[in-house]
Amino acid sequence: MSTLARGFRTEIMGNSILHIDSGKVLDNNNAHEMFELITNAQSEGMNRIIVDMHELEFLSSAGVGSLLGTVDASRGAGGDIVLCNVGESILHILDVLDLTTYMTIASDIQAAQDVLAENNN
Amino acid sequence: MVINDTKVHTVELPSDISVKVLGEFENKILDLVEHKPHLVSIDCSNLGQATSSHVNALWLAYLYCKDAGIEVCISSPTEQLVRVLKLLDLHELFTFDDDTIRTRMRKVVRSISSENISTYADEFPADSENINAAMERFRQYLNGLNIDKAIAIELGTVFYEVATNIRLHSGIKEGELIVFTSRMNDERLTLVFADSGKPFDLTKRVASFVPEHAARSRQSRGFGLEMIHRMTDGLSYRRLHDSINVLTIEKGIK
Repeated sequence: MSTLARGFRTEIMGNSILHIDSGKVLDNNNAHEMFELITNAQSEGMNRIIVDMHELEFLSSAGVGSLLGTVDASRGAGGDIVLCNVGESILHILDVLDLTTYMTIASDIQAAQDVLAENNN
Repeated sequence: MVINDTKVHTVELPSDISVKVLGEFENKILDLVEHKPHLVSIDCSNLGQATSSHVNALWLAYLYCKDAGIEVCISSPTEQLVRVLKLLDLHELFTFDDDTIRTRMRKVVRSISSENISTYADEFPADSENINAAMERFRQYLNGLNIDKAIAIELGTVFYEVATNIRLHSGIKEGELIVFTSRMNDERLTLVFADSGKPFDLTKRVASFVPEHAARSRQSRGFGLEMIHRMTDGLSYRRLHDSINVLTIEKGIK
């Protein structure tokens, strides 16, 4: 795994899928970095993105915004942003905002890759 | 009298505090309470020597106003009156017209919290690092309460979103404090935030939030208010002394 953006570990997986590790906190301090990381990837044609939340303990509104504000661009280009390994507390925050049905959520990385592979077909 | 959208009613504490005059003073307070002002100001400029009857009259005024959720401010107190109130441990119950903003913020949140089963209090500079640290302290407090985990998650998030909104949008100066308290009874938790920024009312909801619309317009900001509203059961805002924002949040725990 390499670090392509300050604060977030990223990896380019097979089929040009960008894997981003959200880290423990996605809030006002780093949400703009997440936003930039995703939009930069999209501008380079990388529209299939996995945001791995296995460590994520706190998601603020700014963190939500960094995902919601970028997902449409990926979908418009035939890709998606898939959230995976989402913990109970984070899932609750997403649910409060009615995002559990709007955002694509997979149980783990493999499931996220499968979802994106289906999109590609 | 209305000052800057904050209803302030003033009543004079008379020097002559015979039983008859005390009764009249008490009736005036009761009449004022009926009008539900934000603040009752008791003018003590003509007091002279403060006696136990004067203190009793102030105590009664405090009790009537407190029951109605009204703050009591003592205006133009003599040094002797202040000394007597301090000696009797009553000084903290009232605000004074020469209190600093910070002192008033502390008294306001304390007065709202004093009669409850469980109370948590904190104050922290309104910067990112201190907000995060304060949120962690509050989350630890919440984890120690016997409340549903989802409610604790929501309250921790609400704390962060409110404090961050105050930091970003109230124009509060660097280093200025946010004074916070949380109280709990059998039915609910009440959070109170006080800050000295410009008038800033978080209770005003913007447009309704629809995920599809937000995503299509590639909106990446402005979800904090929506989260606060969705995660709470009641929000109220008051501007006190033309200098303090007081946001009160209710959250049912049943």
